[in-house]
Amino acid sequence: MAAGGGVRSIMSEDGDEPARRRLRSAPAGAPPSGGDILWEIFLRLPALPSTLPRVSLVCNRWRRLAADSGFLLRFRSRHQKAPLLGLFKEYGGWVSFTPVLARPDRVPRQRLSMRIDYGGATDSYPYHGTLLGCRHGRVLVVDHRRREALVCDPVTGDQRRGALPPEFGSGNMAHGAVLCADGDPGHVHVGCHSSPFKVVLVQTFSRGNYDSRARARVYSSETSMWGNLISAPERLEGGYVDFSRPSTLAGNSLYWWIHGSYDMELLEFDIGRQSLAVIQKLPVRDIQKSKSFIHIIRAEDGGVGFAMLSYPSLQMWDLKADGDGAATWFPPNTVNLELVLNMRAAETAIVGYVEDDDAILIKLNNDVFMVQLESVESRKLCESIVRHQYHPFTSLYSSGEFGRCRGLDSMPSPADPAIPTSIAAPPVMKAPEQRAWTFQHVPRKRRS
Amino acid sequence: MATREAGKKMIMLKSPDGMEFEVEEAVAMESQTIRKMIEDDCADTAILIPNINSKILSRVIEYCNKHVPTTGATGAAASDTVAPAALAEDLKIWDAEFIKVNRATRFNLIQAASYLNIKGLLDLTSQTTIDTISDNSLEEIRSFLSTKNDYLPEEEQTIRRENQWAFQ
Repeated sequence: MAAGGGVRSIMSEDGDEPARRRLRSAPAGAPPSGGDILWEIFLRLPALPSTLPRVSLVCNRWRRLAADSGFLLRFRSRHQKAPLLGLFKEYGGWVSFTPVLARPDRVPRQRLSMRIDYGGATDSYPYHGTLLGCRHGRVLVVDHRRREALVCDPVTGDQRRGALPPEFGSGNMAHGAVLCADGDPGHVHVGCHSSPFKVVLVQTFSRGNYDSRARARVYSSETSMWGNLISAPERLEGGYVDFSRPSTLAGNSLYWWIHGSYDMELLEFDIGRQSLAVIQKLPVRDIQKSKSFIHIIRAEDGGVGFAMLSYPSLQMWDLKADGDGAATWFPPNTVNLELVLNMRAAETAIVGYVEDDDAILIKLNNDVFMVQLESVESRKLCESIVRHQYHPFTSLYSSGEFGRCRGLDSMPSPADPAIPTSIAAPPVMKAPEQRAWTFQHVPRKRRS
Repeated sequence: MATREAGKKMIMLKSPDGMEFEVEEAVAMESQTIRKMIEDDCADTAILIPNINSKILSRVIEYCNKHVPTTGATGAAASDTVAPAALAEDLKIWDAEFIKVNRATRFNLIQAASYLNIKGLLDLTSQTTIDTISDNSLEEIRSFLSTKNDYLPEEEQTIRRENQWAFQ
């Protein structure tokens, strides 16, 4: 021992980690338990869907460990990013899932696809609902027939319904977005199943005399309330929010297109400030022709931009402040996709955008490719004859969820006595108009 | 504080079986647990490392010696003269040799790396097991890690059925 120095045993600096907590209380010489080692190993396993189910089948102890909520919390926070499991699309009353990973991580179509109950409507056309978007593990559908919004968690099978506020449910079409509202600074959006969420609805409405405006309302699952009506100050010359594609989250704002008679403009909802604005016209003419070839994306600096496809050329425009501080579309970066995909194409379209990967989805003939915008690396995801708008679904599908997962193949049938005929009364909150809006759990039904 | 060379603080690490290891403070501070103690002034000159025997502790110190920034394989300042890429390649080869140990030693090293909070060592020692879990069948995982299947046949069937796709 060094002269004059007392021997001190190591103390754990924080009590968070079980390994150290156990050691601190253990007498010197007691080894850390095997569970602690397994914990450390499991944390380093890849964040792929088959990983934790496979681990769970080894033995009971491994299963308990892989389903432990503390473990899952650290597993998610360590991985930071969830893999793209597949794509959702709307298909005749279905929110249909197309897996894009290879086996054994290919979560089957029927496990995550959802049949939406539109109040007993059996005919699939005309559509009774619209898939508005998918973000942070949740899917938002608007049920036009019942004038309700549905928020579904495809992994847990949880579905919640809530009446639309009157101005959004009475004929004026509404667009919208769902997003996680977890305020914990350490939270990462890879498994937000139990986190609170927000629904943002937007629409344009006419005030007569060619005076149209955009407005929004926000639902918070924490307060179970729709907030006040938020209006954009800008006057529009007609126009409507483009329903053919979902919103894009860039920075702390959501963006949609507004289609005017001659122009396309950006509608911005600032989540922090709770403000709505029509911010910028698109520097593109011949809008109707361009419709299938543009998509709002995240700009290089984290702001907003858009991608425009004129195959084989892909342009990426960023909205930035110019010398005078005014927002301006900057001359685009252009990529020759023919060099990347090595394909000639008879039919091309942008059919989606993966926010988490900053990648656009391009349909080339009968194939759907994902092209990462920074690296311009591409990957074929699936095949499709029909041109759908795709909603990418990223999730850290883990064993904590799979025990509770209710895919269509495990749902009880409508005739099943286990399904309640009435739904337990949910907490009723009041909107500013003193009318109650509620989001409530709905029982699930088996595929017919 | 003991010093060996001018400007280099030394720390004494003591294992429960009575062995003492004099190491440079910078080397000891590869362990976040020890770093915290030193920064919080909880360590004078000697620190008892409970639970980690001298054989494992000496390997841990060997790893930290190799991985401490600005110090090369022989303890000489190597990073000044060797390109970073070559140094990284050298470290990779050294790591691959270092981890050629039997399973019991590897598990003890994982325990030690976890307890001492040495991220690089934890990543390195866990990787073989992670590869085993990722690349092998359930039977091979059980056999490699000496884990017994304690499921009843019907339990195993139920779990398999829940996520049949994950086992294909």
